[in-house]
Amino acid sequence: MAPDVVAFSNITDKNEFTKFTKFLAYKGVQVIVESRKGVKIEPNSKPLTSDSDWFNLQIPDSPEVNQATKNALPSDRVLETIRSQLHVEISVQTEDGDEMVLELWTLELDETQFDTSLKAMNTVYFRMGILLKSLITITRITPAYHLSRKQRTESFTIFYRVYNGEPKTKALGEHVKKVQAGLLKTPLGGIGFSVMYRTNFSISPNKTEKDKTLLLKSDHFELSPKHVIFESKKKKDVKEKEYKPLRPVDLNKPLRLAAFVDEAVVRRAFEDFLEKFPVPKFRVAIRPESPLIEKPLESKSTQDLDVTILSKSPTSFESPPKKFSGFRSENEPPLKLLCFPFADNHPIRELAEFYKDFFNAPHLKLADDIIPRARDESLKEEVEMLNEDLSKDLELYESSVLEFDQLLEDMCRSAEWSGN
Amino acid sequence: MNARTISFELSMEGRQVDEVVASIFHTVLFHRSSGKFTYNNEESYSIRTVSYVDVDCDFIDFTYVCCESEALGHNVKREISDFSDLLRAVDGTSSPPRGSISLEFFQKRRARWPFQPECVPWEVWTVYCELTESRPDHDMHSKHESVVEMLQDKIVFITEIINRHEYVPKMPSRSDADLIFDTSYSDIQPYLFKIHYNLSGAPSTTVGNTVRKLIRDTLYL
Repeated sequence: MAPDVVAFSNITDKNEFTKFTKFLAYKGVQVIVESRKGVKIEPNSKPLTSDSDWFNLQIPDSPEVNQATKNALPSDRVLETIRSQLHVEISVQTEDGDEMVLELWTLELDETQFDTSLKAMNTVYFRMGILLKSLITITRITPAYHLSRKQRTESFTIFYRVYNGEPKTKALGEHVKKVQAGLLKTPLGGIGFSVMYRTNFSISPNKTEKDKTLLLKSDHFELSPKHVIFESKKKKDVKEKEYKPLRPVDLNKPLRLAAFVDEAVVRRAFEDFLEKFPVPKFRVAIRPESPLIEKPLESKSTQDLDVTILSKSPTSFESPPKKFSGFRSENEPPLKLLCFPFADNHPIRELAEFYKDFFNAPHLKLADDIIPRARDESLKEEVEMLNEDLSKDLELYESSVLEFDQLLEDMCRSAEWSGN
Repeated sequence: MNARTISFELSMEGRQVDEVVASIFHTVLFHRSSGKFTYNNEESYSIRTVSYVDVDCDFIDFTYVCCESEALGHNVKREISDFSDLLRAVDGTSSPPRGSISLEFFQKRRARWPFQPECVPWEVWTVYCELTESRPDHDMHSKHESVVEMLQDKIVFITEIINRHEYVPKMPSRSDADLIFDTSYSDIQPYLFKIHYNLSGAPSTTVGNTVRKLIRDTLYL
């Protein structure tokens, strides 16, 4: 190990090295995440260069990704954190909720691989640029790259997560391949990216839903172009079928007609049913005029609200698409959504963006903040006026429910069309 | 010769030659190119940004990265196409057609007038290609996958070699920049390189091709 004191000739070099390493980590994470968005980088697809790009490479600077890196890499402990490894985990989630970790990228500072002859900081900077080029190159050759390029046409989504410390390699399964994407020997040790990726792509059943049968074939994630990946059902053995109890219909999944079904007969059956049991046109419950005044302290966080809505969704039309949900246990940092499949140049993209923005929207502090302070009359009046405005807005929206329903149906229909 | 030579031996179908060679050469060139230098004075310079693009292959399930430079891409493609055309034209009835193509990085050393500067190679990447018959039989799929796997291994190997930083010329001062870098491109600045090829186990190249290559090499230098 090279002690920090003698590794560099002065403290300025040490500080510069720390700064370069920090940006190497930031840019490295950006490169990895960008490559998993499923977007091919075409000529002239990037904005004009600013000539002040780090490492003279035009790597995007997504604020969301930078924030994720920042959370895992404290600015005051850059070298220490990278010594203990910084990881980017790439995982896939199917529309059925099954998920699988595909690969684990690691940035590490290996203190045994030091080279004290490298003193010039501009050379360190230049070589870090080459290291990033190696990373860019290697990101294109692992199976997850091919999978991510298909996520726009298939029913799955790729997620990422940045964390430090011990790698969670167990999630990759038993068959793992490791590739080193370059190593730069510096006075403080060898710094480099590596990736561990799974080679066995059969998915295991969802642990939380033990009754679920295995829906995917063993070659489900076969990356060959010959295979159509992510078929939604697997033919079960006849024996298995005999003992299998009937599963309830999952209303959160779109209902599709089976093969060779006479559509006219089904439609007639539906019409008869709806005639006997008409769907109520106005399903909105009448609410008290000023709910915020009556229960000002019971407001929940928007995330709780979202969970409630999701769990109570009665039909597939009212629940948001599953691929937009990114729930994890509270102990784990959330995985970030990378892109919206099928949504290129499509009107539903706007809805998707809206959903994404408000899915994890910050806790509404308006009522909480104002009510405790509303001790004098003027503030109280202000709050009441505010609530009246809200009530009016709510009334307006409630009266437009039919229009909204119509709009939603249109969107669902157009989504189905584009899906077909 | 104080240079590093790296060679790869690959067997592939005729139609895959262009893409296999291009994916190797462009990966190397991506690492061996920097942004355009702007010298503030003799020793001090700033470097512009390099953009990169993804290239999807048509005949192999593979994507590689290359610098975003139309001129560089055009020059490399022309050389590889010439080699590919020649190799695929070889009669392979007795033995499979074989050939090699090299990407050679060199630096120039000034010589006394009237002699041309001396070109000293410092890194040579050679791809030995052997053509396999392209039959639409049952093992085509596995053959295709083996080409992809081999290519993946080569790409990893390239990154390993390039990060060793041996034999690479030092950053030049302004007056020597042309001896190290190819400054003729407007958007990118690769180290000086040339691509040359030859066929083995086949009749010698036609006179026309040889003369054309000679003229091109002469003009290039």
